[in-house]
Amino acid sequence: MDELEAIEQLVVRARRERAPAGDVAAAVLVGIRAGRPAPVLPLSLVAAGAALAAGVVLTLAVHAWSSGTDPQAALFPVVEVMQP
Amino acid sequence: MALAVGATAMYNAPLVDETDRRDIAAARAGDEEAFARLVRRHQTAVASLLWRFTRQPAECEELVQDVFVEAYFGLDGYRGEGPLAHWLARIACRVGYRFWKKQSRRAAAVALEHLDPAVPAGDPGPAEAGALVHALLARLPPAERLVLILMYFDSCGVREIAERTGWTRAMVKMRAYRARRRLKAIARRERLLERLGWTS
Repeated sequence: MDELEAIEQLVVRARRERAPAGDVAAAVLVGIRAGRPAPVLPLSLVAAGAALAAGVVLTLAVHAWSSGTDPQAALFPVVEVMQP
Repeated sequence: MALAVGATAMYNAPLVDETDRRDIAAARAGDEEAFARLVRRHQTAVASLLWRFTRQPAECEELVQDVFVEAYFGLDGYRGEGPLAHWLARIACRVGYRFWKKQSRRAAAVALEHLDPAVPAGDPGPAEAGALVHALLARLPPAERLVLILMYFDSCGVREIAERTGWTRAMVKMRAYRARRRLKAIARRERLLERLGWTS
């Protein structure tokens, strides 16, 4: 007999083993209730609100960027005045 | 409560049970009590399958719960073309394999599994044989271990293993070959035959 044959004989015996098992139905129902996905509507409302806020911020940012001036620009007139 | 192991019988169940069909329809319609009845009818067989993945009763029970929670949320995917037991066996296989992979990432947990030196020589009983086989198989990588579990305990052929795992048949054959070769080497290194007194 080699090792694999011995293991196969052990498996034949092991198949007769009794597995410990209890009634898990109640725990399964608890798991189902805990794992049930939340309703979609509130999530989509949050998503819509976030998208709206992002749009407003983007609009303000573009406006601020386009109307802004270079902070160094104010230096150049001073340089011109100081020329001989 | 100890219940008889029936994993093989589970996979060989011939027909879709009418009671199952009724309870599945009711559970899909939101009747939780109908699903609880399905759990009670199939939990023994599922536990028997998962007992091959862990020999810790608490862990095993947790895995059984995971299987049924997963089954509940995937109930729409069960088309009723085969027995519910087959479908549950596939989920159990996935849940057990996931458990192993998670466990193998925790190296310490694997290192704790070793052969029990108190195994009686000559004639180990079912529980002792089960523990010994489990300890030997625990030294294999999860994929190879799964192939041998399905071959040895559920009498699955290459086609059935491929169906249950989603692997190709060629991959199953290769893993079975490597697993057996590796298992033999492990058993030899552990002097299994001497330990059992089966050397003659």
